[in-house]
Amino acid sequence: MKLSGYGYVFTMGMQKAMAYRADFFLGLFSCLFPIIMQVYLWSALYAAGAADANGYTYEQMILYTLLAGVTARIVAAGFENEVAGDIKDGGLSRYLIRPVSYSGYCFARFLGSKAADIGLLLAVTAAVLAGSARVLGVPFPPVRLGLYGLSLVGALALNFSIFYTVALLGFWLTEIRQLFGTISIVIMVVSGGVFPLDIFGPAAAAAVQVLPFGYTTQFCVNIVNGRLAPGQIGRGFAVQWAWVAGFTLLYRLLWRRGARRYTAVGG
Amino acid sequence: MEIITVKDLTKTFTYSVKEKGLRGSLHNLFARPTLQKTAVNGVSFSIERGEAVGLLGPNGAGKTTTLKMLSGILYPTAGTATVAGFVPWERRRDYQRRFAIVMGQKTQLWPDLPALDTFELNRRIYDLDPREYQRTLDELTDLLGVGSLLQVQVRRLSLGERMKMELIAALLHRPELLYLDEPTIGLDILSQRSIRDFLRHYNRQTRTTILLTSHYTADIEAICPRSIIINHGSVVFDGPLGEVSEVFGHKKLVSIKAGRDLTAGELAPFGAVRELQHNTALLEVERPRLEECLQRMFGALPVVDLDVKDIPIEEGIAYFYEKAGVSAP
Amino acid sequence: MKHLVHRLRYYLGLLGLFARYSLMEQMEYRINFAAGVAVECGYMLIKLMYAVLILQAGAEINGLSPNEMLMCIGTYILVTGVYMGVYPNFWALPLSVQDGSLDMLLTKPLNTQFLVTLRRLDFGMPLPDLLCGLALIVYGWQREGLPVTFANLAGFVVFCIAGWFLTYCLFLIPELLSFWFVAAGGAQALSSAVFDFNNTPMNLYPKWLQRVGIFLVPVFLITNFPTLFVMGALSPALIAWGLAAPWLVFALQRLIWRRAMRRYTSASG
Repeated sequence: MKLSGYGYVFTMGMQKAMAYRADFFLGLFSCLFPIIMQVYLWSALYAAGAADANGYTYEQMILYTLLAGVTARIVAAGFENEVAGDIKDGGLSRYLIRPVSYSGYCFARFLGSKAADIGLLLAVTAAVLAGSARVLGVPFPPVRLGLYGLSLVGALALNFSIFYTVALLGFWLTEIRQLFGTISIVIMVVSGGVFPLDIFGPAAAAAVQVLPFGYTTQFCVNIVNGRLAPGQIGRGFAVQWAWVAGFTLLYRLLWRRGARRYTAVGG
Repeated sequence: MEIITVKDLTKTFTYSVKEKGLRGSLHNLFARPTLQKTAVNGVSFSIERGEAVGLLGPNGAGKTTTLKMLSGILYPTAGTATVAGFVPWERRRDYQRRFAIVMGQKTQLWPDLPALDTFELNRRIYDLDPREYQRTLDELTDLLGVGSLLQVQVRRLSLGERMKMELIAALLHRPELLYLDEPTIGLDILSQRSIRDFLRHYNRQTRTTILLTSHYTADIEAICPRSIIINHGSVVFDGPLGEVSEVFGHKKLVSIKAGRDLTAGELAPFGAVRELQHNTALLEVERPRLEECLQRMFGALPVVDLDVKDIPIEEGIAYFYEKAGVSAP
Repeated sequence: MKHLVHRLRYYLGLLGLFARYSLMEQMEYRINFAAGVAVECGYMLIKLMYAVLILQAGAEINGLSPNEMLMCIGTYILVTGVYMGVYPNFWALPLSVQDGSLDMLLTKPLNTQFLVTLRRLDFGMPLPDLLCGLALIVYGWQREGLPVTFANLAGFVVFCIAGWFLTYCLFLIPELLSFWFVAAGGAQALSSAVFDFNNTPMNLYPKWLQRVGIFLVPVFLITNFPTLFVMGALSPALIAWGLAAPWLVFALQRLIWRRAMRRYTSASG
């Protein structure tokens, strides 16, 4: 498929996302609640003189909560159901007989279904940043904001490849779609989409640096938050893209095996 | 005694349309235009207890929708229906115990368990007496010849075997009324035939009323002495399927084989030429002219073989399928 | 009365059969079973993170000690775990609307909601939550030195059951929206977002939010009421509300269910 073909799929994905209008607004509305909950949680914990929280000040924590909430939403997947559905119902055959890369098709659709969301969410991010810059009394350096934007690109690619890999497990599990709801929550939390994971001690902090998940959310947010030194940011980008490459290799392998199994079983 | 009385039954579906392109999507975000489609349009018929009636019609004619309304799955937009004294869509338990529906495209069997387990579940759901249930089950498995397959996981059964199990599952509570929607779809000829034979036998034996839709005329001919053709949501024919081509009753088909190649020109005086290939031809001849026509033909052409037939049923059906939704002639 | 007993036996018998069949099915697909347990373990760990945060803080917050908050979190894990046992039905509901497999179920002579929502029972997913939830409750209860009396135990269990019932109703309602909208993902996201307030005990929230969560959208009953009852912190009025609310929500849910069925039977093709 030519690039324009993927462009078409992108537009279709975007149209589909908008056709589901009530859904669209409800989805946006519902990402408010976890943020409200977190804000109260941290307010209570800090008020109780509780967490030293690995050096996060109260303001930093709230800023983290807000930014992570939006960022997690920006990178969130959601195509995994369709992939597993295609595998289960035999819809995959349509793609196997055509000169298309199924992963490319999914990626275009994934971006397309997000395009409208991302625009809106970036606006929300800008508002959050402007507001907190005023509260904190220091503006965010434009370099960091630029790097945040750049890190989102890698985060999108990484989260896509992670969820695509998970979805391909549908070749081996008969009803994996049932698990996706829980899986996506778990992945979101271990990505630091709810709270920064380094508050759980040095071991957790080290794990986040090595594992791929943090590079879809926590890494991006901490660039803005100013908790990463320039060197750490550089290293982070390297690890982020290394994981993108790693997962791409992994899903290619899974795809090859799965597709063979799929055609052998007959769908 | 009438068991099903349907009067002016109408079903209209509303669905929304999406305008084309991205601009359409944006527009759709706020308002969505809707369209209406009438699937069943003022259908009326009645069926006597113990009858087996075939419901025919082209795709989208409203057959399945009608069956769904009669089994209470769908609520009609207008019209009335009484089945065994009940209004189907009130979905009264007493009514639900009296009928069963089998849809060729849908299953009530648990795919990963042996069919026997689904049967046991139905025994509990319909609250059947164990001994009576066992008797019914033995009888049905015997008739369908699937006794050895009861313990086999449903997903390991062939399509034909699966349909037989569906029939058993549906008949365990001895319904007075059996709705069948394309029961032989996708089955091989042998399975089709055995299911056909079973249904005919079962209908004659137990006087269970059967209402059946099928695309296979053979199903209907074998099982149903009476057929109703629905087109564009209305009844266009009601009677024995054999009579469906009586709209063409004034015509006969004459097929001839000659000792040499024939030409359209020399055949034209006898009737309308339908087919012509070398020395064989098929002619459509007006019935009053038939005798005279045949005599002339023997004189004019070197006829080797000749056969006179009625217009086939399929053509009668096709006639009604193509016809707009007006009442039968 | 006799009729009622017969009905009860009828439905309990069916439930037993569903359990047996579901277990047989799950034994067919052992990898699925294991995957379900593994994923649910992950989810449980996530919920435990909140417990860790509260333990780390180690302070009493708005009248609840860390031990009591642990009991609340344990209750939440326990109740949602048991809910996971019926989750496959909820998950499949929108699908069965789309592919029309609901049709066959609608023709059966028994309560349709019973058949649709309890037909498939999962035994793997509730397992980790059940164990972990119980452990947290026992740990917190015993460390706090709350009296172990029959009344306390019975009250705790009753409020847990009420909480499960609430969970069942509150998660069924958004699934029912799939009868009206092709995509009900937004509604589901909303309900689980609201539900997520249960990740921590409600004492962390301001009074107005607590009132909303108790009286308007009674999700806080699930996590907090069993523990608050044992602590003796529930007024008779709140106890009465805690017992009445599930029935009110059930009534609402039944209303929506009937409308959804009516909608299905008049709209689907």
